[in-house]
Amino acid sequence: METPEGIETRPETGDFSGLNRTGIMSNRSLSAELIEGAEETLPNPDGDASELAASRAEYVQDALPIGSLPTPVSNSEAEDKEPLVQQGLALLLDKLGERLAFERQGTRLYEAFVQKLETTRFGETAGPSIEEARHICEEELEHFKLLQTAISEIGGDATVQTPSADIAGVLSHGIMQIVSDPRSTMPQMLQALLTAELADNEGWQLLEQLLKEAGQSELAQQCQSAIEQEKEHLENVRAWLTDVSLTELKEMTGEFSSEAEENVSLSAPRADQHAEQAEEEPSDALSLLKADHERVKELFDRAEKADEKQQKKLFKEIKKELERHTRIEESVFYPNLEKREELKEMMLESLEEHKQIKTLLREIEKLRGESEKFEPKLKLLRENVSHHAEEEEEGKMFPKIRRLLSASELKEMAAELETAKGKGRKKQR
Amino acid sequence: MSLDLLNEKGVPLDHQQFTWRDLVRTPTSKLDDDAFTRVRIILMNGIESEALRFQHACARMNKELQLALARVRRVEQHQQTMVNWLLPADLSPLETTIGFEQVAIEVTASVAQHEPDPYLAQVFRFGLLEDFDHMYRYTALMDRMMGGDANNILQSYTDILPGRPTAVEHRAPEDDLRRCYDRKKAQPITKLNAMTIMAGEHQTHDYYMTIGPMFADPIARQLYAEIASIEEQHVTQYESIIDPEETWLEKWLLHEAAEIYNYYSCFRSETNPAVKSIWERFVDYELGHLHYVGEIFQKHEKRDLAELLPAALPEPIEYKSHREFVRKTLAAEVDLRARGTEFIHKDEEGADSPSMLYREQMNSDGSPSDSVAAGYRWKPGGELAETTPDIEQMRRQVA
Repeated sequence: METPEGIETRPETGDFSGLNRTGIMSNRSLSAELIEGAEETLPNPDGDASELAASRAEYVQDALPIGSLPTPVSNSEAEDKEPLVQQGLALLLDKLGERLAFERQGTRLYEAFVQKLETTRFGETAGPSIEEARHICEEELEHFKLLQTAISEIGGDATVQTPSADIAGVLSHGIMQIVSDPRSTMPQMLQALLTAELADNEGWQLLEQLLKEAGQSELAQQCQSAIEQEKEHLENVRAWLTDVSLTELKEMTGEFSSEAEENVSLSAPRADQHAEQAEEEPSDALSLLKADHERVKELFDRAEKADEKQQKKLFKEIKKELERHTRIEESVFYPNLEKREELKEMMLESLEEHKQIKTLLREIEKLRGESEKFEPKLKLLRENVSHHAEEEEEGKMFPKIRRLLSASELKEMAAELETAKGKGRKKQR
Repeated sequence: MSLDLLNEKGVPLDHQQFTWRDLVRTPTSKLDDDAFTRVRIILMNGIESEALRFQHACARMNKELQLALARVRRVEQHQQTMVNWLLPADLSPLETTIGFEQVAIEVTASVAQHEPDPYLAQVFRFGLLEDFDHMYRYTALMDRMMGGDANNILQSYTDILPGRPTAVEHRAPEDDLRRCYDRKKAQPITKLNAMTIMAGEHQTHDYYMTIGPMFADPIARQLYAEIASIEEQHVTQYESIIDPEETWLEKWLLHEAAEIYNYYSCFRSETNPAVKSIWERFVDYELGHLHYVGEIFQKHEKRDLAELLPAALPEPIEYKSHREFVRKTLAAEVDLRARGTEFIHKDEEGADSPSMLYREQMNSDGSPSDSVAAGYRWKPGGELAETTPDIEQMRRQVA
């Protein structure tokens, strides 16, 4: 049966380009009719929106509160205080309750995010590693537990849904929707998480201020560590979102593509030198190294599914990638880390892992012709690389580096890494 | 090319199976799918909801049919789920509402144009202009309350203009009941039309009743309260055009025929391949239901199916913009009111007629539909938008 005229069919699965139908330009003749009709027709009734304001005002006057502040429960600290102090406590409990709800939601939010990251769809994109996301999740959980204890300590019931906690729930609803929707892309999820982190940071800072003002110095002190951690979360999420968004932009405008290495047939010829010069600004050093890891992982993935001939070919690429990657790490990255006492030991461990990887590479290369050892050694190589990249670097080293190095140091390092890379890098034809 | 109801057997009832994964599929896209795909989904959700409602009502009154009803209903339930769950999570309740009104307008317009009974065609047009006005009010709400543009949902297919003002749609119950078709004389399409529109309105009513309290803004809450009340009136109206002398089994059979008709109409016009395959599957399921019920019908009533069902399905519902028809109807009939089962001009509606008195009572604290839309005129990008597009240029670009 024929498709009705003028309607484009949507592909069943996979990507769809430019089919957003929500704007008036999607169907100009229909839109022209719509617009003209609206222009030529009188509103009903006459007037303006001022009556609306009056109706709403009535409801505001008559409104009852969303709910009541929690009353301090047991324990002597609360009970023999003056009513005003009790009220002050109730207000603090309301805010503490808000933080508790937020952190509890936050834990679930990051759990959902981690689950998404674990699906293959996100294996290839820039952004946080699973470990980095888990790290935030763990800290949200710690904050939740901290708050449970704090609330009990000052005489509150930590299971109460305070009015501010209720509001927090309403506000966060959309964030969870986005993160849990299977259709959300990485930048979309990060956008949602950024909103959460911004609110989170402000929430803790305000709480700390209120606690200090109320003379609760011990609790205020406890806020400090949460504030430090939240600051880091925010910086990370912001950096990931920026990184991912810039990557997306560059991929779409064709300025650089991680797959555009010489043995991919689809590269379009570069028009001019300006395009090459304008090749991407160095992003963060850690994102750059992480992108390398992803690239190698993808090659290993492909090798796993490939036939013998393809496997040998893919191994060549893997070897090339790993050699370059270890070279730039050793020439740029590790010397920078060696300067810091806290990072030296980790760096030395990584160096040893590099040696092991290089040894394996040599062994596999010698194997040509003896196919039965090839696959097991390739598997071992994969495990070593995976352990090194994901657990050691992304899991332990990178988070620590983020804490110790400034954003500009990391940017500078990225530039150096790019230069070191570029020396071996082939230009697109 | 049409469907032969009597000879196409479809899929037998006990082969109509699902899994939870089957039921919950990748939803349609609010942004990329054609508005009419959404319209079809919303309508078919309403059709299935009506199937369930009817089959429950029938079970309350017919012990011996309870098992057969429960069996068919179990499948209808899962069909409804599969269909309704095609709507995506980013479609907010208010956006869905706009979708619902688009269904009411475009489907009623199609039905009204193909209804052979002139009185019933008038009934459909009467309701059409009221749902048309609801769209205008909800659009104003969306724009003024949250800065949204309803045309993102409508995709320029449906006009956004005042219809018969919602504030004057409030009628006394005696002015909502209409004359019904004669079950022995009415054409099949008439019966299908009545069932389709009644189902749509009932679903719309239930939806507004459910989501009304989900809005924080009191004006939104009031507007939903007001329009839901009209939708209840519409259900009363459309229910009343169906002959109450039809037996339970006759009604059940007609229901299944209406379901086939509607799934078939959807199948014929659907542009999204994944959704189209669902329509196709369910045409076959409903054929299975029809024949399952048909056997019971023939056994109990000793009547032939061919007596009741047309040999071929009538022309399917047209899923396209009916702008011209709606505007024509608006110009000619916006000032109609109702007195009993008949339609009159507004000037004939006496000041102390039951409907006038009722209306004055309900509106005595003001009218939310009037406040929401006072001075409202839709523009691309919403009321606040400053730039207006050059219509002539747009027309030239198409030519």
